[in-house]
Amino acid sequence: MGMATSFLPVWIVMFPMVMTLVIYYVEQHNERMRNALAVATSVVTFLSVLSLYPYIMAGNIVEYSMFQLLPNLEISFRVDILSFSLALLSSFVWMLVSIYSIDYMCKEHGCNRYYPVLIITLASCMGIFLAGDLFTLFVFFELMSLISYVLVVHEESLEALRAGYKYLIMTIIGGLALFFGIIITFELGGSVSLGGPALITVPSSLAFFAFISFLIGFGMKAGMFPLHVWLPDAHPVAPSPASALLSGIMLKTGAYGLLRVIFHIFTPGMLQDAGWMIILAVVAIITILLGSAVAITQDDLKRRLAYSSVGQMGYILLGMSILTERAIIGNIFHIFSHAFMKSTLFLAAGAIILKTGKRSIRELGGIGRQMPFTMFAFTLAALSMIGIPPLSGFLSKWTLSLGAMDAGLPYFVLVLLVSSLLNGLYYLPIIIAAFFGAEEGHEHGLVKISEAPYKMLIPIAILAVSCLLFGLLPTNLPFDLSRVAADYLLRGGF
Amino acid sequence: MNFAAAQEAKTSAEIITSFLPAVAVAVPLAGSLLVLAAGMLGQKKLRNFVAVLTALAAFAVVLAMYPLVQHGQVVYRFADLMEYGLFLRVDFLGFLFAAIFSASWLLATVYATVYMKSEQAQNRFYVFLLATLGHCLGVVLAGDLFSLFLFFELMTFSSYVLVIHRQTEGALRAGAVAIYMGIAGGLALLMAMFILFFAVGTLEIRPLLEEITAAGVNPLLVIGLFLVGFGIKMGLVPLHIWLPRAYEEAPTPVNVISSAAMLKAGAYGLIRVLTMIFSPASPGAEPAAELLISQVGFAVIWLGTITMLVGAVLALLQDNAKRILGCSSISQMGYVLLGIGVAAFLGVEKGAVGYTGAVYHVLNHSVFKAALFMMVGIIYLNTGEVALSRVRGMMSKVPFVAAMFLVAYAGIAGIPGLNGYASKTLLHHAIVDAYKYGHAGSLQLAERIFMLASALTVVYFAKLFYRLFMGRPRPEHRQLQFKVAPQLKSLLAVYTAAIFSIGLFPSVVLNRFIIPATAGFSFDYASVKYLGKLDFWVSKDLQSVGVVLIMATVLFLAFDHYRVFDWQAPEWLSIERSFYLPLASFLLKACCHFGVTFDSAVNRTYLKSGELAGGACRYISSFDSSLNTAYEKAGGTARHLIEQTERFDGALNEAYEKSGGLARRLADGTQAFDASLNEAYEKSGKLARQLADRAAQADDTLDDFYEQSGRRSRSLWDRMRGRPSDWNIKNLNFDSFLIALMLGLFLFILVYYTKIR
Repeated sequence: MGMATSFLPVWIVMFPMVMTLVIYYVEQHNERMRNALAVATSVVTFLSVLSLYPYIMAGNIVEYSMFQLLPNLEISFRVDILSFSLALLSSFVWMLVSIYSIDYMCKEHGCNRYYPVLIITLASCMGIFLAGDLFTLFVFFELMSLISYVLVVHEESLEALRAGYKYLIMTIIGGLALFFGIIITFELGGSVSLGGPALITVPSSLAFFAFISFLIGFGMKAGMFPLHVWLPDAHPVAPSPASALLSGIMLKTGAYGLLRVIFHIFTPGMLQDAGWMIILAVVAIITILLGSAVAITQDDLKRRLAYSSVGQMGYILLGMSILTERAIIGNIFHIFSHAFMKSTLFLAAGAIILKTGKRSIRELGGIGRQMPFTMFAFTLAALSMIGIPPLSGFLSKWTLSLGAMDAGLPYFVLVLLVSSLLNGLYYLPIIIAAFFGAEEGHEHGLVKISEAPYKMLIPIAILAVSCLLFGLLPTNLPFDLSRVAADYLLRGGF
Repeated sequence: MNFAAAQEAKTSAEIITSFLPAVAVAVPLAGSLLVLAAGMLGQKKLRNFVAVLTALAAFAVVLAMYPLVQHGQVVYRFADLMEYGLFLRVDFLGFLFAAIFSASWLLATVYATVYMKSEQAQNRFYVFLLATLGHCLGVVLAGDLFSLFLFFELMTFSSYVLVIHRQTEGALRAGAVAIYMGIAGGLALLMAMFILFFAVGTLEIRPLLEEITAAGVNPLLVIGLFLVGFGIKMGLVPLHIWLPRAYEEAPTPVNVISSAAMLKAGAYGLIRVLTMIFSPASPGAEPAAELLISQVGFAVIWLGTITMLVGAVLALLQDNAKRILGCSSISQMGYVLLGIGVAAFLGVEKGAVGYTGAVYHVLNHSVFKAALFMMVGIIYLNTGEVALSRVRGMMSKVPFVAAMFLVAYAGIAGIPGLNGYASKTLLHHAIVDAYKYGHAGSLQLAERIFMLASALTVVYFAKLFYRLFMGRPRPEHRQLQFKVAPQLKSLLAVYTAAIFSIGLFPSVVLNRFIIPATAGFSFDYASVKYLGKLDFWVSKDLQSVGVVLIMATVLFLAFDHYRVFDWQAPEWLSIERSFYLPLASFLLKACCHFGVTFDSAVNRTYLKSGELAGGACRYISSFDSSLNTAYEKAGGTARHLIEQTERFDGALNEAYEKSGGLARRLADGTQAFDASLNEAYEKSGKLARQLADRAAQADDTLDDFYEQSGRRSRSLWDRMRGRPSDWNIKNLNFDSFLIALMLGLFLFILVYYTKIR
């Protein structure tokens, strides 16, 4: 296990930032160039992250500290296996989404606003995952949260503005809580670095406040109950590619932050001894059941998906609260599989909305016969969400459940299974209606609806196939990364 | 022979690694893709041909395993696939089931090529028909519970598409019940697997009772979950509710494979769990655990008894021929369950008779029930009806079918010489043995119910036959030309031949196919050996058939007389109406309603807190504004004061200026005086003028001085009125500033939050 200083993390974060300006300049003159640049930026970012692969997998850590913003508070980057995994995942999904955006957004207004924001959000997301200390993480976290507001309110409808406002307010509350937590950490630990030994090892009331603050700050982003209220409003109103990123990737920054807090700020052992993890466990269980139950009653397709995200984030939080090795593996793997599944679902929903203009599930009868490819991808991801083997959702549930059994908590397994049943109750009717239900729209003279353009279908296909492959294949990158990352987190080494 | 010998016989069984099981699963899956391709090209004939060929190939691959499984187990492992790894292992039991499945599928696919001709979405049908075969074969060829579960779930989903094939509202509803129950069952299995895997560390299907006991798991919980999971699939009462409706709605080929294979997959799972996983590897080591399993077996015997009785009574009351056959399947699965129960109840020593009875009955049921469904399907093809109230007198129209129906009827009724007799006799032996050796008096009652259910089977089939074939055809059918395709006739002939050959040579089938299926199980070798010598043609067994037939005759006459057949059971008697629907709607409502209320309550709490904070802020702002007023007042006073001072200053200035003016006037005066003096003393010389100049100079400096002093006093006042930033921050440190900022932001948020609505 070695350390190295490399400029690459800075490059990964700064490149899209600089490119944002370039895109902003270019788009004033040439729209096609803008699209090409946005895709190129995300591709290059992905490749840059990927180029770290051999180095990281050899057990090394890359560090780079830039400058001190305030005394003792510096902007620094640190790439370990967990950072790398999530950065890889995010940049990959981002790449696909930006390809998807080209055709999806072509009929939308305000594309000149959309693309720079998309790319700078990528930059800040990379910044979160590659941050070397809490302060840097916080800076990028706030940047991402505030900028993604623009994505949320893109439609500029009253509904979107309201949802965006709610989102903004909650984000600021979360940011303040986070700031509070960081201040306490700095006070108690004398540092906010994520690379060193645990900063808070003795439970105290101040430390408890820090824990709660982090829980609020990151949990808000992760859609944790009772801070999830913004999520079902904000995710559906955003344009579909943005929803895919919001649900698929940006929720995960909260989960990532909590992982860092549990393993680097505190120690898992101390958190368990102090009994603070029970809070997380209880909240996670409520999140799972609440999200799944409420999703059943939603009629808006994207809103149902958003509530489903709440439930699925509950799995990730639950995995975090259990803290056995298999639970952590399952937790990290579920970050992967949920990113793939939910992006597929949102992108497929976007294709349907683009082609039919229908958002209500009741109107989706027969859509599977008109857009078989899109709905097939949707089905694959939805079945994965229910946890049908051999799809990736099953594997994460399987691993999480074994983790819960390891900790002697069979009731958690029961919660997971009940929620699987609920997932079935809200996903299957969509699929059944789409493929076997009565067709809508016959009365107004058959409107022939065709598949979305291929630039939208290819990203959907890649993501949907990932849901299958990452469940089925014996050795797949996400699972290996999760395993190594869990090992790294629990033992502090490879 | 003793246990040691049996153990030796078991260990001598080879483990053969072969690709065949994987091929058996893969062939239908690949075939379904080929069918899809052919169907997309619009080649209907080719598609049907490929479908039949695929089923044939699957059957051939399964048969190719026959020489291997006679020597031992055939295994194939896909290491690490899906993290856990897929593991296929075929012992004789698995082979037997796979053979039954693939044979039924082959015949059903041939049947489908005729039956489905005028149906919609045939491409989809064939694709999923073959995919389901692959999944079903996967279930019975699986070597561990993980793989079994995988294929079991896939089977649930692929068979769903077959059930709802017609896409009518009824079909969709039937399918929804089936798939949700299927998923719930799958989750029960998964839970059981988690408990088992965690405790024992393996999911392999082999005798594990010792390890389970050592791990301290509650076997009742695990077995209960398995019973629910597999019981749903096999139509165990009270989990059977999806079955009659799904059978009514599905096309006939699906009924055929469903009753011949998918119900059996559930039975297969239970056999594996109850008589294999929960059986001791070395009998007698764990007497307490064995006793517990035997008690579980006792419960399963009763579940089976109830299932067979309820299924039979349900069948009696149905009007739809397919539903009658579906309920009959429930009843027949009750027989199988009873056999499994006896096997668990009597344990490894004497339980073999129950086990063989169950397996034998699975084989027989697959034969006669498939044949019966096909016959009803033929009538449907010609008339478009299967309701008994709308079809009659088919004897005159399709005498061939009527004759075959009688054969299959005799088979299911257990008439000696036809296939049902052998397995029913074995099962009867089993229940008698259970009563005799198990020292449980209540089992005598179970035996009576067994007889009653058998009699009821005869009765409801009599009703079916009577209504369907006897009498004059209905007017609308009289003129109809009935056509039965030659393929269908030959299929029926195949089934009839099977019914006869199994029925005439029961011992051969028992010794060649059923008893070898005990390989790998812990049953006492001697008792199995003894079972092989069983003679089916003894007067005692034949007598009990007579008893059943006499009971049936009496019952039939009584029912006919009292019009029981046409009795419409009140709704509250339906377990679906009285229990499942209320339960489901209650759970859903409780869950969703509670969830939504809770969620909106959280949302409202936020808004409320925002509102509250808004109120607080309004209060603070009113306080603030009063403070402001106070400041303003104070400021006014100050300003007044300042104005006063200014006026005073002005007056002072004026006074100064006046004094300046005075001085100037004095100077002017002096100048005038000087001028006159000059004039007067013009000649008096420079001295006087110099003096006058100097005086004027002195006056200027005085003037300057006065003006400067006035300015100085004004700027002092200016400063005192002055800029607040000069003094605001100086006395407060940075931290409190931050806190103030945060508080301010927080309040800002809360205030504006109220505006969101």
